[in-house]
Order: sequence, then structure tokens, then C-alpha cells
Amino acid sequence: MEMALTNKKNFNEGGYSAPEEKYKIRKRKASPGDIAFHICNGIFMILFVVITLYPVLNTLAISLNDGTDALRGGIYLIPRKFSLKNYATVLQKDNLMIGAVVTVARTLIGTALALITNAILAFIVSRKNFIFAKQLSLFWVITMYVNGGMIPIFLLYKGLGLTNSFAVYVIPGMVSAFNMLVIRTYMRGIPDSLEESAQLDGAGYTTIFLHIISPLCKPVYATVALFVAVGQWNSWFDAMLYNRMSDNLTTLQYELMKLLSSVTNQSSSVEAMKNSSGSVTPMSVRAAATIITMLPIICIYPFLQQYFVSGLTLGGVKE
Amino acid sequence: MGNSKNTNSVTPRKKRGFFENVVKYRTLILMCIPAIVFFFMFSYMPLPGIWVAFVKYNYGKGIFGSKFIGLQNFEFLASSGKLLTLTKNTILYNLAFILLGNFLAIVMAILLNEMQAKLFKKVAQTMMFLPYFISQVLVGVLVFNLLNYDTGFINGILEAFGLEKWQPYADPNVWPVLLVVIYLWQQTGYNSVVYFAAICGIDAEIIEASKVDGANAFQRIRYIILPSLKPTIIILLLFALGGIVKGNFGLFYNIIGTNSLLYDTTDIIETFVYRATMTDFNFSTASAVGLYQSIVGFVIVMVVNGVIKKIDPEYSLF
Repeated sequence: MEMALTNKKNFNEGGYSAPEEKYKIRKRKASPGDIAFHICNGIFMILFVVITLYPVLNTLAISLNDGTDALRGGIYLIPRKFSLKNYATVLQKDNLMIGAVVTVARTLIGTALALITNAILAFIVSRKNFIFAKQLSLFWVITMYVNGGMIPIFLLYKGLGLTNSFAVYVIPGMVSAFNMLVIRTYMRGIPDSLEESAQLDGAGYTTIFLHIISPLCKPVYATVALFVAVGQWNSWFDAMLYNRMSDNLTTLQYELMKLLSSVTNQSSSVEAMKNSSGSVTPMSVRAAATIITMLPIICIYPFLQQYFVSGLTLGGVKE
Repeated sequence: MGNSKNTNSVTPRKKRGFFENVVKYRTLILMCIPAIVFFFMFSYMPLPGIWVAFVKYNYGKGIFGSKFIGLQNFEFLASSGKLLTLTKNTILYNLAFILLGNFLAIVMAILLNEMQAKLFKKVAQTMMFLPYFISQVLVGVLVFNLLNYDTGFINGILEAFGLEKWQPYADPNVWPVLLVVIYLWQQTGYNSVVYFAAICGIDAEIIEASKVDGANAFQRIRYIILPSLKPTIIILLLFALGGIVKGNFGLFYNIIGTNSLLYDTTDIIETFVYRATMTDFNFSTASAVGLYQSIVGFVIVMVVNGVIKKIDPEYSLF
């Protein structure tokens, strides 16, 4: 919801310009209180980073450790008995590969569709004086808070033939009120004069949208694309609910979830795994699957982060 | 907002009638139609289905063919105390998430802003963001790896010190704290961005002047940064309160799952509805809870939007 707020002022200044550049003009000697503060601050930050990273690193260590050995516990950051068998076991599972393909496909297609439709809609409702802008916003915002509930929605999808189909991943979530509000807020910050002068030159709405507004909206487009892509990559609920019966439409996260819930029939799966590839356990396999599923996001996100922050910042908050 | 009349009188413009407007904006209106159809289909069409909350659902006869039993589904839920427990859990968890989440986000934003070393600042921010991108399924795994009885990190340490092992998956009383901590772990980095942005927007000259006057870091935070964050804080809190009856299904379902030992303190509206539907096939009860949630949620959103409109109309949703 945060981003649904307006910010006209920051648009031209690039709200993310770091103010500390200006501090440097006149530097005062730091008082003992300041020094103490900065030391504490540094320690606190390091602590926070450690807390954030530790669970991930711990799982990485378990995934690289021999399965039976890991059951003894006591593995923290470094694998005790190095082994890649867990990864080999995970990669041998058929469904996981299908899940990976489906997940990549839904992430690409879903993100493209969502970005195009949300951008067009945001453009429409951000036009000044557009008569229905208020009513349309209300029409959409209500859908963020009120819904028919799981059963009617399920029956509707079934009636529309969306269950057991790839479309259920990309169509129903295509337009979202929230993403649209983020883009709309950003578009409202663009000076009207740009659009007006284009209109005087005879540009229609399509030209204004494609050649004037959209190039300026790159940061917010990148932000929304990242939102949608992460959501698509991480989603599991729709696969579980609507495509439970079709194995060739499974997703990575759903496969992972099934792997997790196999805790209950642990003994049988241990037997099965022993036969196939020596010493792996459900726990170590799970850890390996976790790392594999997480890896793409971790690799991509530092590159997108710069857009993410500036997109949110500009679409963000009034001073 | 208030001076819109003045601008009109400066540049006199002919007032258009409704139909003239429709003609003028015909392209935009045409462009909207697919979206209206879309929202109508996916968000409004299921709404009549809430009728299922008032019937004794029979799969063969469908929602509208089943026997109408009025408010019996609600009465059952209310009299068994279930509705009260669910509402209490959902709201209390959300309250903790919102209040502590925003508090920690503000603290992190301020501390991040005060950091001197640029590289470390960037690294710290990147790391803080990371959990937000990890799916809740994976969060469930990570938590399990830390807390499980046999090989968990915590029990490993307890064992090393010769202490008694801890069994959180059998103890409902520890989960309110654990879930809040997990939520904070995942969301704080993301939440702090907005505050960080707001701090960046503070006029650097004010801060500079305070430094010249000899204000230390604490005074700077107390008297400059916090007061300028006040409007942001109020608005964000109000928006968050609008969704207070909407539970975080992914978090609870992936961490608690179907561990019925823990339901007393961890069952929220969403998880109950899910179980009632998928494992008990009790569609009518599930829908009754869902409808109750929608109505309460709608009322709260309307009230919150009204309050925001009073404070600053520019922020209002509609």
C-alpha cells in the first residue's frame, strides 16, 4: 500500500540522490556521543545482516553435507562431510524439472502480460480530467479488500475452463489494483506540460503513452516487473489449488512443498533414496531443493535492486 | 485542491456536459472496457457465490440449488467460539506485525541513513532486502531447519551446552513470538525502504544547520528526522490498519501447516477457511467465515479511507 501515495516534488530531483553529499561541505569534529553512536550503529547493522543471512547459509551448508552425517546435527555454516549427492538426487526428480520449466514460463509470460495491462490502465486513470477516473479507481480498489471467497472463485475458474490449464497462472492475476496504483502514482508525478505540448503537435493517446510517458516510467515499470516476477516465481498456492491433478503443470515451489510435506512418510522416502544414491536424507534433499529454488532470485536481484529502490522511492512518499 | 475554482476562472473553459465528455474521452473509455470486463469477471462474478454461506451446501445441487438455512452457519461458528478465536488471532497477529514491523522499519531506515561507510551501507541494504524475495515455502524450510527437534540449530546449541532440548513444534505458546520474529525477519528490509526514501527527502540544509549548531546524532534523530517522518508514519499505519482482518496465509500455512497442536494460538481466518474447504469439504462454514471477513474488512477500509480523507485528501484511495 505504501506506494499508493503521491509524490510530485521528488520527480525531477530524483528522490534517491543521497543527501550526505551535501554534508561534506563543512565537517564538524564528531563528539564522543556521535562516535559511540556510530560504533553501536555499525555493530547493530552487522548483527542484523548476520541474522538475515544465517538461515540461508545454514541451509546451504546442510545441502552440501552428507545426508546421514547431517542428521547428527551441529552443522552451522560449513559442511562437515562435503557431498553433492543431495543436488544430484534433486536434479534426478522428474517433476522438479517440469516444475522449473513451467515456473520460468509463467514468470516470463505473466510478468510481460501484467506489466503491459497495468501500464495501460494506469495511463488511462492518470489522465487529468478523465471523467470516470474516480469511479474506476473505486471499482478496482474494492477488489483489493473484498472477494467472493475461495469456493465461488474456484467454481468460477472451473466454469471458465481455467482449472488444469496454464492460463490460471497468468490470466486471473494479470491486472492488480495494487500494481496499477503504484504506476498511476508515478505517472501523476510527470509534468503535464510534456503531454500538453505533445497534444498540440497532434499526438494521440497511443503516441503519448508509448513515446512520452513510458520512457519516463522505466523505474516504476522495473519495480512492478520485479514485484510480479518474484510473485510468479514464488507462487505455489495456485498450482496446489487449481492444477493439483496435472503433473505437467506443476511449479517449482509446489514441488518443493510436496517434498517438505513428505516428512510424515519419512521412513519410506529414506529407503527409496538410499536405494538410488547412497547417503541422502529427506532433510538434506530438502535443503538442496531450497537452495536450487532460491538461487535464480538471489542471482538476479542485486542487479534489479537499484531500480527497485528508485522506483519505490519516486513512487513513494511525500516529504 | 481548494483552489481549483480559481484556476478555472483564470483560464475560462466551457463546462462540458456528460455526453460531450464521453465523446471527448472515447478512446480512453474504449481502452478501459477490457479491464472493466476483466475485473467484473474475476473479482465481481464470484461475489454472488457468497450465497453458499447461507445454505447447507450440496455438491450435486450447486450453490443456488442447495437448501437455504439462513444464518445457521454463522450461529454455529459464533456459538462454538471459533469465530472469536479466529478473529482474535488474526487481528492480534496483524496488530503486532503492523506496529512492530513499522517500528523496526523506522529504526532500520534511520540507522541505515546514519551509516558512514558507503560500501557497507549498500551491502547492508542489499542483505536486508534478501528475505523479502524468498518464497514463504522456503521460509518454512529455513525455520524448520533452525527449530526442529533432532537437528535444528537451536537444539544443536542447547545440546552442546548440555541443556534440555526445546520442542517448539509441540508448544503453542511460543509461536506468537516466533511468528512475529519470522515476519519481521522477512519484511523489515522491504518496509524500511519507504521510510528510507522519506528520510532522503528531508532538506539536507536543515540537517546541516543542526550539525553546525552542535546537535549530536540522537538530537538530530529526535528533533529533525522523527518529526519529519510523522505524516508518513501516520498514513502508512492507517493503510495497514485497513487490511487488519486479512491474514498472511502463506506465512502461517507454510510454517504451521497442519500441525493441529498449534492451532490454538496460530489459526487465523485464512488457514481455517483453507482447511474447512480442502480437508473437511465444509464449504458453507468456510464461506461463512470468508463472508464475515469481507464485511468486516470492507467496513474498516471505508472508515480508514474516510479518516485519511480528513487528514490529507491527496492520500485517499478513492
